[in-house]
Amino acid sequence: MARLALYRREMSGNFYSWRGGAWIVAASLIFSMIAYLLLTDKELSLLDQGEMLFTFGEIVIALGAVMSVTTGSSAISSEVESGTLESLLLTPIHHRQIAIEKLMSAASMWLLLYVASIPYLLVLASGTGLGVDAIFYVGFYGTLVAIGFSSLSIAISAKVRSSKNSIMVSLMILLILLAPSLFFAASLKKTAFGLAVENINPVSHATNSLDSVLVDNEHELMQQAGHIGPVIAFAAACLALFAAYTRRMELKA
Amino acid sequence: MTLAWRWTNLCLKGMPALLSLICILSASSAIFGLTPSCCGMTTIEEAANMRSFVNIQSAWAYDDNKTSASALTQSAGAMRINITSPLVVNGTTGQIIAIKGTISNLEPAASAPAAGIAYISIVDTTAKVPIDLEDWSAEKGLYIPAIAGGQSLPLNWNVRLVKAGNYTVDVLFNKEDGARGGSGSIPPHSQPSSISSSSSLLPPPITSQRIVLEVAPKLNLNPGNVLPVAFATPAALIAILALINYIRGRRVGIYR
Repeated sequence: MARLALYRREMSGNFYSWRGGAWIVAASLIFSMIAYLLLTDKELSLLDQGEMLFTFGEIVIALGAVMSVTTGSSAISSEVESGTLESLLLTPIHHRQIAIEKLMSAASMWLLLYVASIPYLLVLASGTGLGVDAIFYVGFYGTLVAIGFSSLSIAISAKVRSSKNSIMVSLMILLILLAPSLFFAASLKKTAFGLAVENINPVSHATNSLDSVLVDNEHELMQQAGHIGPVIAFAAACLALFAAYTRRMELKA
Repeated sequence: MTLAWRWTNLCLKGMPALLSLICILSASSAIFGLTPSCCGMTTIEEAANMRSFVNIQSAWAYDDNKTSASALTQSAGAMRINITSPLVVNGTTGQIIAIKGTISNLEPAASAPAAGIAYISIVDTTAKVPIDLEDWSAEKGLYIPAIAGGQSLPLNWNVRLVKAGNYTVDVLFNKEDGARGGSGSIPPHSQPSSISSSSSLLPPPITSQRIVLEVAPKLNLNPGNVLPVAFATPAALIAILALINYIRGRRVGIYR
């Protein structure tokens, strides 16, 4: 019996063809464009380098979250729709093991995206001494956010069993959590409701922590404890949902 | 259904929409006709009317109480701002220049110290608008709590040249009015009769010589050495994927 056979099959589907590998090339082109824009645009080039790093870090985490949601939300439902779930369930792999290997493949895609973003973080941080902090915190928060969204999407996919519906639900959840950080103006975040939303939103905690480290120069891990806790709690809650909904998979008529 | 009936039907169906459009156009022309200065645009005629109104106000103030007017002139002339940095500055975008000057209180040493806010103002002479100083200077205003009679204080602003163009730079000083306790506020919508009272008029700001600033554009195609990374990373990824594909193809027999 091959170990992690499903995981290796998923990874080969992601990379062993041009269609599979196009996503990482597209992501790196996006990073190239944004890094160039940040450094050469007349207005944006006057940003503090810490703010440039923060903007780029936000984009890396957001892109990773989108990829995790897109990959995870069709993980189980695509097997159901293509009729391959039956043959998968007949293999000597436990049901939860199937879901775990799907989760591992989604997390691996985030890791590859993160590795591809490291050269850009280094060039944006050149001369500031923020390179190591940027790489560490983007990787730390990005991994937690990616694992959280992947597991949540897989749980929704296992429950809904329709790719279209599970992608829509997962993307809506993602947009609701990303909206305060990426779309809301600073003035909206300062209202009482905006502050309340920021306090319960794990993505806001991740971006606020990045802002604190890269812009405000608060590098110590203990200074970020107030932000790390909610993000870990979010990932743990999503994994709990994942464990509950993938405990047993059944074929339904 | 005959052709005439079809056309009649179409016209009847389209009549509500057509009427709505006519109403909207009429309302818009009425609104814009009544308020030509909506959207922040001021016509030349309005500007001329404004100037004449200001001139009338100044005339009333001068005629009604020449003592107060002369006092205003005296208070305005009691402070002076001299620019010590060059009056013609040429720079490149991204560069940081220093605008330096001194503010002097020309009153006798025994007089009460003056206080106020010194600030910088930059006008784009090409676009004919003052610019927002948010990106140009971190400290736009400097509060001077006290400058004694006969004393001079240095002023210094570091200005980052954000955008290419032609500008003029002024340093201004708003002196606090001691009679108002330094609040510097006047009642809104003052009637002309109240202008005659000297306590209602604040002294005008004291201005420096005007500095001419010409900013040339800067072309930098590779800031921070980003181009090698921007091109090399996608190229490396494509190369890695191509290699993986080729190795797998050789194993499977697609490539020989």
